[in-house]
Amino acid sequence: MTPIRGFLKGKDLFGLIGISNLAIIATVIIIVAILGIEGLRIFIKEGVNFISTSVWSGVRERYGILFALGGTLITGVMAISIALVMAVASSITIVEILPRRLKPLISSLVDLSASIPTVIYGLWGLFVLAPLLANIAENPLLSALKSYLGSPGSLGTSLFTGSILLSIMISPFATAIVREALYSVPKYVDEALYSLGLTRFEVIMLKVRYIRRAILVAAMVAYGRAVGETIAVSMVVGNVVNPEFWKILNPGYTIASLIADQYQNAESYYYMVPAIFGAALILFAIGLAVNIAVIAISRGARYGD
Amino acid sequence: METRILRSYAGLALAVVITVAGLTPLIHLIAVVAVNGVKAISKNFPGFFFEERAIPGSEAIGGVGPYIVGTLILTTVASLIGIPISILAAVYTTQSVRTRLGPITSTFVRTMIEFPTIVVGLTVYGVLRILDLGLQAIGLHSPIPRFSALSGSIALAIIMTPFIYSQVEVSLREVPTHLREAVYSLGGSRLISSYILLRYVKASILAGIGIGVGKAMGETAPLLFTAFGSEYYPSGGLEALLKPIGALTLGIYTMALSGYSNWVEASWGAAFMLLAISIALFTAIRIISSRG
Repeated sequence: MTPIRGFLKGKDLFGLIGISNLAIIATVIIIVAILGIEGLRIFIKEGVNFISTSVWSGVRERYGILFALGGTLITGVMAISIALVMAVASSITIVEILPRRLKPLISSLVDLSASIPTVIYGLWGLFVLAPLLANIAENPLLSALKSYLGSPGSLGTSLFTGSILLSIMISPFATAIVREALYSVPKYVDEALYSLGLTRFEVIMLKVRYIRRAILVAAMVAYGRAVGETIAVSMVVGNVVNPEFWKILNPGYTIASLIADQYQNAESYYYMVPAIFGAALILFAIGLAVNIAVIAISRGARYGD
Repeated sequence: METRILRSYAGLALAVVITVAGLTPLIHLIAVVAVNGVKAISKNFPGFFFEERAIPGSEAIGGVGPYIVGTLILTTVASLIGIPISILAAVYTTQSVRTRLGPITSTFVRTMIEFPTIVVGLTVYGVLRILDLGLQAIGLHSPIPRFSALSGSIALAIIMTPFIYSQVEVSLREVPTHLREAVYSLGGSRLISSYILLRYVKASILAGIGIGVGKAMGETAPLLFTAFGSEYYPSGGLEALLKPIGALTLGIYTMALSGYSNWVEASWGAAFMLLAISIALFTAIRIISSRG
């Protein structure tokens, strides 16, 4: 058979569809390259100031994103702390407590919440959650702490509101991982533990210890989500340059919400586009670090140590 | 002994209470969006589905027609780009032997799925901007404007690709060996064998497409720097692909933050539509994958 006839019969065409693979690889490379190229321009201009100062001024062409970096780290840490408690508790409930017939229903509800568009969480966060949290912040006990915690924007927008909304949004992702790990603890472990005469809760807590590595992975995956989440956070975080980002009841910025908030005036200033790319580069670097950590953790033994 | 049993019950109760507390926001969100959304839509029914945005601050609720059309266009064009590429790439990865291209693709896809979506949109914008600046130097313009329906669709295609690819890859790998061997033994070309295998895992591929398209449809962040948003119906035939375009998600975002009460109300209506579609899609995917 000549090569031409083979080609016509579709024998050698198979190699051609590898073009799709090349397209995917090229896309990833281009994304990383463009982040690097555009982002580096701001680092050349601002140097370390870009991540060590808190200023975002197109008019003066000064850019330092410490306030947004701090906002991202703080909202992320608060969100995963809450999300992890949620994830472990709901995994225990689903796997160990619920009657068999209710398990799929509750599991589906959790999974459904992961598939709701984030802008809807943002809408709910802005008009339901933020006013609620603003009321709590007016509580005399908290207003006494105003100088330490700050006070939210007029609509109740704050870094704290952003953290709570984030925790609601990321806990289904953490739950999915913890739940599957808890399901996959071998039956004989259960039997061995019960045979020691332990109570149900003691057995469950030992099983939770047993899957602690999966819980750590869940935390990292959820953190990755939290760092990259843009729209919902942007709607409730206040979008204010807040150099004192540790005062969590103040409105603030995260890196992602900063980028999203600048889309309309980015091209009005000479260095703003590079500054946005620089911010995206930092975001990407955080995400990459989290991913490497996830891979490193899950490489080890699957359970225990 | 007594206290240990008591502590056990207390612990179990605590877990249930936290779970209920965790599910409450979800139930509340669905309820609030449904109530406010239905209220908004019924104020201007059925005009809400095809009218344009109302005058800000007026009594009229207006409609979200252009946003619906925008979401349809963006999702369709993104699917036309993203679905074939991800399926073909997954077929190549699972069916090719002796090349490293497959495993490398899978590694890259795992990175890709973790990219924050705002970063995807931003880089599409960045590439098209540099392309445009470069072409302007020699007196030309970029064939794809950076703020356009097409650039938004490219961003969405990049977002859906890793989801579809991963699903197709897994399902093709799960085809039992005896079946795979039987297909190969028919003596057809590799393309034809792959096609037969694809048909065998049809249900799970459909589910993958559903997940990917659903993700793309619900995205807002990647559209900011690309599709940019527009309150008007796209016009001018295919030319419309080269102009900024609105989307339901972008509409909700801008109207909710506008501060005008009639726009905020309209954003609840749009959110209800989007929520209904995503719940329907989620249920459909569940049914398809449980059959597959």
